[in-house]
Amino acid sequence: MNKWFSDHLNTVIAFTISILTLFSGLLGWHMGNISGDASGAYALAQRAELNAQKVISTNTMNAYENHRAFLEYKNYFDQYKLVSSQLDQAKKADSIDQALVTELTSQRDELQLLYLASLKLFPNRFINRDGTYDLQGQIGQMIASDKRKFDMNPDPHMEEGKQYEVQARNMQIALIILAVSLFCFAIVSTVQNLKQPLMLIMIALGYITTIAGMAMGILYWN
Amino acid sequence: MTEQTKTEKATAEDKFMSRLNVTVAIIVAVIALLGSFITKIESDASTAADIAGNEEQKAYYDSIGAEINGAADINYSFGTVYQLWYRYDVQLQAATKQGDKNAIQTFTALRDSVAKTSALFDSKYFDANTGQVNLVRYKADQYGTRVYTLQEEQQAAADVSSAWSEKSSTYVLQLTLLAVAGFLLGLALMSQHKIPSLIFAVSGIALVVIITVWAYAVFQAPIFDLRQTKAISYFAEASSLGDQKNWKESLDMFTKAIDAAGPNHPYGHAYLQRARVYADSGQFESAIKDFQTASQLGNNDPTLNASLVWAYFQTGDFKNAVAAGTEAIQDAPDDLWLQQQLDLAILASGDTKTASNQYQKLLDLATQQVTKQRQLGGNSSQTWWLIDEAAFQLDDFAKLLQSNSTAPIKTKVTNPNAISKTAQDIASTLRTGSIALQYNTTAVSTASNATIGKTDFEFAKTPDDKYVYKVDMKFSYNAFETGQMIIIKAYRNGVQDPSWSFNERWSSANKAGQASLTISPSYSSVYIVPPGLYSVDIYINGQMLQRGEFTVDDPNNSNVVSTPEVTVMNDMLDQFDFYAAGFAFTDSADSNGDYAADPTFVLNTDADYSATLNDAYDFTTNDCSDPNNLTCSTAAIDCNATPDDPYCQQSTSSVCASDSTLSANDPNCTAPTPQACESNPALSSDDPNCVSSTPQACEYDPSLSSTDPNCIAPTSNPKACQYNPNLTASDPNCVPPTVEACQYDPNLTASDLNCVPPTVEACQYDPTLTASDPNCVPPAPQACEYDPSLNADDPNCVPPTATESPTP
Repeated sequence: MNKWFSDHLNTVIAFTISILTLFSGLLGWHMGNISGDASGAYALAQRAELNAQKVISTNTMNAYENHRAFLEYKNYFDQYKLVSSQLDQAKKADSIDQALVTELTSQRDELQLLYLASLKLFPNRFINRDGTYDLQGQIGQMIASDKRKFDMNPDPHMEEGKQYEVQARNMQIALIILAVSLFCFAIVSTVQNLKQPLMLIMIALGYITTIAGMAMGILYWN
Repeated sequence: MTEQTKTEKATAEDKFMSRLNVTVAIIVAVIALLGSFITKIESDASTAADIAGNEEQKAYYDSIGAEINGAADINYSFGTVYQLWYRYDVQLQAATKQGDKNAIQTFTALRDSVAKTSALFDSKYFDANTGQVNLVRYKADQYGTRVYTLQEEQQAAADVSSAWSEKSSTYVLQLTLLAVAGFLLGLALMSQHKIPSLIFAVSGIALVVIITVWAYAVFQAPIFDLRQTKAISYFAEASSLGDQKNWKESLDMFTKAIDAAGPNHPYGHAYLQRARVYADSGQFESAIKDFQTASQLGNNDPTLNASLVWAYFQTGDFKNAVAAGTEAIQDAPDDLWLQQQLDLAILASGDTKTASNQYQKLLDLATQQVTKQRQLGGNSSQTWWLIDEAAFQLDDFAKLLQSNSTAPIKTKVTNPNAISKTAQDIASTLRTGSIALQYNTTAVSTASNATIGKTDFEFAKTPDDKYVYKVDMKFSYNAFETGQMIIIKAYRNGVQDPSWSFNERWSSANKAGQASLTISPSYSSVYIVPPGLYSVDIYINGQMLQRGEFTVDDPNNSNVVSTPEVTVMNDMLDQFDFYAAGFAFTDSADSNGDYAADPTFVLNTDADYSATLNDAYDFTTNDCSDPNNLTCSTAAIDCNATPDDPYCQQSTSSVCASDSTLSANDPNCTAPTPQACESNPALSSDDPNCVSSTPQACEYDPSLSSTDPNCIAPTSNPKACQYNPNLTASDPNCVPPTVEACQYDPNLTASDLNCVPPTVEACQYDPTLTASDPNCVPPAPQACEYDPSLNADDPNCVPPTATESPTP
């Protein structure tokens, strides 16, 4: 190879190495940013999942507390109905026992007071027609209300995180390809008395991998 | 060129290369120093990031702990102590009315002693005149404000950790680039040619200079820590004030928080929360500005987008509402709340066709979510609550358009009549869809030909004709079939009241006739129907067949219209907030409207209806004396008895068998891959020739396998029981008789001949005692009567002999 060609080739390779190095640095920096975005997305997914568990736990606890108050009401109400039935029978008896009627009336009134007082201490609209308490319905209503205020769905954030991960992985591959090209050019630049066919192969390989690496880096940049 | 010129040129080139090499060597030394410095600061940054990360975790767990402990405290203070106090107070009031002095004294003492056991009865929270408690403020003071503080501290620590991590990553990148610069400088030294050496050297040196300046800039950049300012404490206080609906104070405090954070570090979360307070207090223009600011500052909260769409909608800016919603839904396609806000904006903008299609998609999405939740065993009711909320909003919207309101929503709508009609139609579709989700009526294959006539309502009033305490509904029906699901839903002022709901299967043989139902609840004998506009929908197998309406006026305020005029659209779900109900007061004048309070009873007023109303409710009999009573013609669904009932089953028919996230009708739903047969992989598991490799148990003796030679059917003459000839050997009662132990000696059986009461030995000193009696002791020896120093049985105990002669 003549000296003129050799000198110019070395100059071109030197420029190529410089540009390659700069681009690799930028690609590495951007890959770091993307990895950071992936971490951020996963953190949001974790936050959403924790929000969901917190909302479900606290609402369930509150609903069960209301259910406990309902059970107190039901206890008194059932007793009230029983005493009312007994009072009804006592009043309809052939010979009315006035003392019994008075006693049952007093009991009934007291039980009425107790069940009415208990009734005020939980949301009555969840009492079913059959006398049970719609616990799951109340929990569902509370969760539905909180769903509008808190992010409780981790799936979109997980998807976003995975997309960022894929992008970062592809950028890693591009960097590896660029490192191969850098290696080829370094060999050409530093090894003296490199046989010409081998040198040409290394140069060709270097430029092929440079183009491939840079193309891949640009493709997955956004 | 002459030899001299060549020599001079070569010498110059050598000198140049020599100087270049020296320069490069110096730069390489600088790289080494710079590298060590950057390594040090990277290590510090990494450590600081870890510390901040730990602080974030700690703050998070502290907030969870505080919230759980606080909720438990509220449950104790309100759920236990206050309830007890209230019960005693009611009994005290009754005793006072009756003039029972002893009872008054007792209940007063009980009530007052209970009040001492909780801080809830402090004058800050407890109104001694009314007996009500400011539960929201109590919650805020006990743990609410602290939880907000910890949550913000957690986020602030996360931001600090993130900032330090970013610095650390930057330093690592700089170290990497320093290595690259070293590589270039190495190439410069290795290269024998002037120009390439120069290029490598210049590139390397330029890179080193850039890295040096960059590292210095990063090192100098301060890390802002919000925890060092007062912004978080202002934020927490503002949030608590917002919970108590003290809008003005809350907004002022949020503004303080934003100012405390400073203009260089805008407090995004404070902007977001302030926007919510603006929206809740009806100041939607300001809310929009703050939502936009929060979004620009990177708050990626999906609920922000839904709130922004809602705020745009309330101001009548439907175009921006649709634009914001359309952009946001791409990132959160499963968000039902955001979807329905967007659909409402599309409808308001006039595009009724797109809106109808979008609402149908909303229903399809809800169906998928309910199916998935049921499969996972989760609570699926949250989904149909959101659908009910959507229907409520549409009804509210239609009412607004039909009213004389001058609200921005109405003035900006171009074709109110058409849009109002579409809104009502869609609301009806959503309600039907909600019923289908709740009762799984989509699994019912047969459509119904049933019809229902117009509903009539009858009201039972208190003796003074003031209050309605019972509502009966009557209607005619036709073509009812046994097994059809009848569902009745009632709404008061558009909000569903589940306690009025009815759902049972038609069990009567009658296909046509008249039906009646006491539709008002009977969980109390003194139930007073709250005033309002009531709508009652009747469904058969999920199809709505009839809607009836009636109004109950407020007898205490007849000038006020029972149905509130709609100026700003409200939420339905917020009106279920139990703690903001009528008997727990707040400091705020803002009330949640008529629905917040549960139905009251008039026990404590001068006109006590309890005696009359007690007799009006017959709780004692379960027989159906009225043949037209709907409860007599229907039967409750018993999932234990009929687990295959569609109402009881989890809905799997609409789910794709191979991918539960898809519906069965989805084009991407492929048939599931059949599993291979265990004993012969060439066959599928459902192939009749697929024999299980696991030996089956013997049907006659589960302890044997089916292939065991002893696995044979019992003979026709079963062996008799050896213990009881009247039983067979296989009878479970064929067991050895129980052997009773001897009561005198447990080692013997009761039938043992030696099982006799032990002989009782008499006392040798006293026959009236037994030998084991403690009083069976030798009698104390008696003294000799002639000589006390001797015992009576001593041989020397004899009468003294006569030794003197008698005197003359």
